[in-house]
Amino acid sequence: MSAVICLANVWKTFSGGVHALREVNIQINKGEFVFLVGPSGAGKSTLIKLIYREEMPSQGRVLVGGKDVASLRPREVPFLRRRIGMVFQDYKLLPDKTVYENIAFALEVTGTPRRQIQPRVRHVLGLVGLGGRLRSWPGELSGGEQQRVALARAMVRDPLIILADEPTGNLDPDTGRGIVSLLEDINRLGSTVVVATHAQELVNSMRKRVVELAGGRVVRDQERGAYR
Amino acid sequence: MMGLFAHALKEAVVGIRRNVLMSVIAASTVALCLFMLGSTILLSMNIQKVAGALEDQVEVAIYLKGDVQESRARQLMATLEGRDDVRGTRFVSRQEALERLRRQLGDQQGLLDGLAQMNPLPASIEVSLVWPERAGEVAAFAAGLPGVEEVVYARGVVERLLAITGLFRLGGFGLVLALAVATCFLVANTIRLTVFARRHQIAIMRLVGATDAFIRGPFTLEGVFLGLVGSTLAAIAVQQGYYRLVSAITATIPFLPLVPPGDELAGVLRLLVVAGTCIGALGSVIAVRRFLNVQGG
Ligand SMILES: Nc1ncnc2c1ncn2[C@@H]1O[C@H](COP(=O)(O)OP(=O)(O)O)[C@@H](O)[C@H]1O
Ligand SMILES: [Mg+2]
Repeated sequence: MSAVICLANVWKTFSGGVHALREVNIQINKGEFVFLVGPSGAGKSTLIKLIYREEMPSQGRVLVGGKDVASLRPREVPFLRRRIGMVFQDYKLLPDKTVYENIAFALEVTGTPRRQIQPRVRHVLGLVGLGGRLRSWPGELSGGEQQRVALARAMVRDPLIILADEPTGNLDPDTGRGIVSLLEDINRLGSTVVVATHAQELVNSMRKRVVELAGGRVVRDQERGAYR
Repeated sequence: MMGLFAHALKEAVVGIRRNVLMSVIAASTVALCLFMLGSTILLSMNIQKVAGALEDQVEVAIYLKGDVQESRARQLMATLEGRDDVRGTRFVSRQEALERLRRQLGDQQGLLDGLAQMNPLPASIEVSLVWPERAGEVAAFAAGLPGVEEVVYARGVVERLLAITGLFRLGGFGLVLALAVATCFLVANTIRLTVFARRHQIAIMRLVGATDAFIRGPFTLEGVFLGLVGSTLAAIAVQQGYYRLVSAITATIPFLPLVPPGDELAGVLRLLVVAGTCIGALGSVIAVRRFLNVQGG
């Protein structure tokens, strides 16, 4: 099995001396679905930021698709990000673009020909169950619907990896379950999925691999685990 | 590549439409700054022109002894013109000197009637200079030539005039420079506000893997457009204002050597539009840069 994401002896120390991550070793293989759990401040978001190179490790190596992301030049970073779909607690949709435009945007950025953009946007919107809301504005949608738009945007490029940081943090449990089950669908389509969360019920109900962080350390890495 | 430009254009139009107020403020700032810059440039050009005209009037007058013939005077003129600081010479005969005096006296020329037969004025050579500050040297040289009775130039006045025109030139240049810098700064800051209002959009573009060039594109086009609109307004205002001002001044002080509202004015207006467009583009690039490469490595 080939590792899509590999962290080897990674430390992240912020200026001010906060050790957000300590000696982290994780290997995530192609097609896996992994929950990253732990209390607030455990280092989940920091770990995710290292993978899409929003932050750099202070020590150790972060490999994505076999490539050391710390060695990327700044102008190569966009090309790393095109292979990663991102989902956040606050959706990060552009409020002055329609649902359609928000998703098409992720394809325009990569220079996808116009002809290919429309069918692909329609396709992914259908997958997340929003085929009828093409022309809506994000402000007109519920939180769960906005997060589904964000999911559609994350998957529209068939990414190698989907990173979701607290994707259900602003949603009620039922809606959250819907989002996670969509993430599972995306995982089945071939993307490796990493979800940082502290939604216990969700994690327990899914029985996926669970990596638990506490104080920046990996304290548990368990196949078919629970939140505990 | 064409797709990239088309996208930037589309986004720029959307950006301006959705930030109308900020766009109007930015374009107005460009217009106001460039109007001041254009006015200052024209003021400075007029100062140069007046100073130049004053300096051109600095001449050395060489009065010849009564027995010097015109042919001898011509030889002296050739000698003088051999110098590189002499632009030209002109022979003024005794007769011409008298006529000039008559003209200057105007309706009082009756005073000269008694002199009709006996002309008391000497013939002279008028020397115009390449560099007015060399008047003293030329005068000293001329005084040593045979047949020269007296050499006159506005000693002291020339030096003071040069000091004053030099000061004005420097002041005008300094003013233009200071205003140009202030304009760049103000416009960049205003555009920074329009970019700041869309920092989330930039952050999201970076998240989905947009290159810096792709992110910058629409903002640069917006800057170019706002700069173009603002500076065109400024150019129209400067042109209209200057035209009126020159007409008004010429009506009251006709002999003031002003820069005419012709080719030179057109050059200034072109400069304003080009400068405004460049400042708009540059301001955008500077403003967006702060939101790119946040982690700096
Ligand atoms: N940019 C930063 N500068 C300084 N400290 C930070 C920064 N980002 C995170 N931290 C600190 O790192 C630790 C881990 O934070 P984070 O990764 O956000 O945790 P989690 O996502 O698990 O709640 C916390 O103590 C947090 O205060
Ligand atoms: Mg977090």
